[in-house]
Amino acid sequence: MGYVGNKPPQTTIPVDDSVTTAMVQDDAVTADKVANAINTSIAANTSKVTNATHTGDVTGATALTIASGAVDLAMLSATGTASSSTFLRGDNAWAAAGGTNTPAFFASLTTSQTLSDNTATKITMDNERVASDDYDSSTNYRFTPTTAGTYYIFATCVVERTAWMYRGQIYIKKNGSSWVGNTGQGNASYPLGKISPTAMAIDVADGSSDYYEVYYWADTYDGNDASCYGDNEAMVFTSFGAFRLLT
Amino acid sequence: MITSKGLEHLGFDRYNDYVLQNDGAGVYIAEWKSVQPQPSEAEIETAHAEWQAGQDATQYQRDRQAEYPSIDELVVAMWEGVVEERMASVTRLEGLRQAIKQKYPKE
Repeated sequence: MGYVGNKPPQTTIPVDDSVTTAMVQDDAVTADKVANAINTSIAANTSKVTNATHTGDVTGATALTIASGAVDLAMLSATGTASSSTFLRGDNAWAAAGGTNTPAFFASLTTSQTLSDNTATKITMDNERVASDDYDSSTNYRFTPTTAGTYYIFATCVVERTAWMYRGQIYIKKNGSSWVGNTGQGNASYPLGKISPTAMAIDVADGSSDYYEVYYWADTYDGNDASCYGDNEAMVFTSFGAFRLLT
Repeated sequence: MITSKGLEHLGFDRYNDYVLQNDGAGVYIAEWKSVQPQPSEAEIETAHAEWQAGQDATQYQRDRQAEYPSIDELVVAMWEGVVEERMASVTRLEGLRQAIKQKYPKE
């Protein structure tokens, strides 16, 4: 073959499937020269499905799992302070657990109390079996809760006459007014020797001025006194109590 | 001392005319509902004393009543005496009644 001027350098074109690794320069293949699908896999990191075997809190060589008992409190992002008296709420906050039903008290009548006929008489429960500063067991015999909240309040009076009674009624008074009551009643043909009602209720107290007292109204009809039972040995008869409900 | 019986003796109704209360310092009138004027404590005490005197004068009646034979016993005794002409029960009950009367004489 003839040439005009110099003879051009000779070029050899490799045949299909003949380029070896050694024939490609290091760092010569760019991303643009790689198939798009491979670039996508690399970006998503989905091609790598095996790892070195991990140990510790996270274990495994393929699928990684959290080891049993590995997650301690320090790994949680909850607000508040974890302690023996807190629990983790659904809103990821440490909150105080439980609580106490205080103030609470339970008092009984030490010695029997005379009740005048047809008179609402305050029952002087003076024996604090469960004591509380909020119950006055010496002067006014009233419960004045100093913590605002909802309270369960109960009282019972065991009242008798040696003859008989016509009617008897217990009152729990709130702030000096009749609030909750219960009654027992006979009649002229069937009078009762003992009338011992119980009263109970739930109420919201303001924690400052609200107070509660127990009264009994004895209707002996014949004008004689009745008697409200006091403690008898270890037995409680006439009693008054309250405690705060957890809400 | 204010008492329900004193007020009743003055003519007031024990259920409708007043409310008595005792907070620990003695009985007082917590509510006066009668259309009549409220009596003084002295008037009530005087009325109570009158009522009590009446009670004392008739106490023997209640004492006797509590110990007398029952109506049932008396009827049976009378039946036995009148119909069956057996007087033993009548005699026994009459003796018992006289003994009770002597035990609780009229003042």
